[in-house]
Amino acid sequence: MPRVFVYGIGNPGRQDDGLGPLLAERLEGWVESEGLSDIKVDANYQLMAEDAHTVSEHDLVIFADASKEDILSYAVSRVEASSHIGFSTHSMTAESVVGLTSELYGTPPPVYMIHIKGYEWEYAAEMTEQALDNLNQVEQFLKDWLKNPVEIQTPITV
Amino acid sequence: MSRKITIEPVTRVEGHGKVTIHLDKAGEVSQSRLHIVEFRGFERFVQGRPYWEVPVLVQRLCGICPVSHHLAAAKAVDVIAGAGTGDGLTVTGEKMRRLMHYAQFFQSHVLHFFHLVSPDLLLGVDADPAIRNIIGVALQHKDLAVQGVMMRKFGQELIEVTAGKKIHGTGAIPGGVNKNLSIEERDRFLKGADPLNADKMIEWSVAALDLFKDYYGKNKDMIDGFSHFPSNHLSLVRKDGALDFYHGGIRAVDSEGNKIIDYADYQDYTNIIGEGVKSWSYMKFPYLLSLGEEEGWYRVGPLARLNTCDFIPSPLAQKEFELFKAHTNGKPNNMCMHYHWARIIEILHSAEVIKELLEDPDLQGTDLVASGERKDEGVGLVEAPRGTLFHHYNVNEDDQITMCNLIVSTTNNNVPMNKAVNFVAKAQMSGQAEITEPMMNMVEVAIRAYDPCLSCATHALGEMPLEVTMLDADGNEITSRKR
Repeated sequence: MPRVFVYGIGNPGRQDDGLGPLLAERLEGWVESEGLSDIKVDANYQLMAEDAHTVSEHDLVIFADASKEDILSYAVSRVEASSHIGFSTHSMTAESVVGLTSELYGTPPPVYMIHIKGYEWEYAAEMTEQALDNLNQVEQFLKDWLKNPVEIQTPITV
Repeated sequence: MSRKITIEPVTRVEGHGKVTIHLDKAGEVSQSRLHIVEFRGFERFVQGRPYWEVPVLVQRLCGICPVSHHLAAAKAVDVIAGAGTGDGLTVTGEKMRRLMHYAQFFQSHVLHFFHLVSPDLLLGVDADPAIRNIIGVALQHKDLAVQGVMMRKFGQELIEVTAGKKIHGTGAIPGGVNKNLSIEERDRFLKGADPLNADKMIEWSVAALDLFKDYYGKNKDMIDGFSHFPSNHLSLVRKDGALDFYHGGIRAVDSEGNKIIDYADYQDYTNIIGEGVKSWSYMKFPYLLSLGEEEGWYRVGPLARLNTCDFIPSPLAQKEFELFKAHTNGKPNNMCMHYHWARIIEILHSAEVIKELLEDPDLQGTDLVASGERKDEGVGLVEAPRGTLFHHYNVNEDDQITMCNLIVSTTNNNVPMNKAVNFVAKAQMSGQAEITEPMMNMVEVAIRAYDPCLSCATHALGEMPLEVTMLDADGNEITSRKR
């Protein structure tokens, strides 16, 4: 079985920004109950440079983050390596993390980003109903994928 | 023509900031301002919540230094829970918190040095912004980039073990901590396979210092002359004058090293610090009440800490401290770029303290929580990586927060950051016919020396890139750049 890494990104204290970590939380229990020991699930506030090392240790990587983009419910895209660094390297883009993996550790594994549509971002733990609906859909999609963790055709938009 | 140049947001600092540089009709810089959008809503958000929730709640403020907020809030609620001020905890409780805190310092300072500063040092401040970043460093200095990544990983994993988890850690609770360090956890960091062990972290910290000193030797004029101006300096110090990131009294010195305040009890901070306001900024402008708003502003952070303390209580960092102090003949160092030097000395000190704590059997103790007579008010201060961090809470008889006041490190550095921007803008942009990309970056270099955290805790996909806009006196756009 390939070594899979699922990584939820966001701040659960900022409403829908916590979609990624909540997805990770839900998956963690499921992975354990299904006995999927090759799947590692984790979460953090944002992607950082050290994640390049973690990416290099896996055969398939799936990031999940809340999105303000113009999408309906969720989208899945392939993350290509980039040397572009955004306005703040206190958080790195998925592309730049993969770019750093490539420079430091050689050819990176296939990396995907699940974009989960969010709506509210205030100081609160409660997520919006719409965001939770989107999360439910993503959760089912991801569970189906993780039962057969292979490369997939992207982009996917739902 | 009078012009206003806007740089928004500032690259490679956390969150969003905007710099406006006002030119007069002769093209001279007349005024420069750094505008930071500070999220003030948090102080109201926390009202009505039970005080014991606060150490976890405050981590919503920031995904960059959640541990600093976690511990400052915990120290404040220690007072409310009757566990005293900083030194009233059990031995294991205090040392576990220290381990968490020094791990936070280590990983935060490493991030700043390797990811924000080393591109400027290794590739040049006037290098193409497209390559002047950590990936550019990786292309030309792979070993160094790997060191940066692994040092970050070491610090982050140590935080996870001491705080309980990466997001919204729960390690510090009112009166102490909720876990100790197991032997297995200790050995993972003390005796782990290379490079993830304390000895390697110390070795690499020394190497980072050597890198800076080598660069400094070749670029002394630039490092010394870049945005230097006298100021007061403020930090916590231990009772014997030692550098201490976790606990101490407030010490402030002037630009000549004369003590303005020494080992003052921070429970009394409202009689020491005033918080000024300006019409053009949402951020507060803290100052020493004894000197007044005009003269009482001060620097905080690594440079200020090495200017206020008498010594560093770890051997390798102390040797470097002596070199640092000798550079200014024992007087306070007021050179902006020397923040970087001070920061790397603190990386080394953090690594040494982490090793010392890991070797301490008190971390396997089981007496984790202290308690005492409950109080209605508590103040907690820590030295956060970016400078002194103040948390202050009042509670009612139902244990609910009724008042919260925070002074974050970046707010404490508000005046000096504005002065740094003005210093560089006047030196670089006055009388120039064209505003070049390297000039813009020099302004950013000045701001980055302070490592400001602009309280942007939301990092959802779809955030904006860097945009630089130049406007004339009538608000018309002259030119615009995007990164």
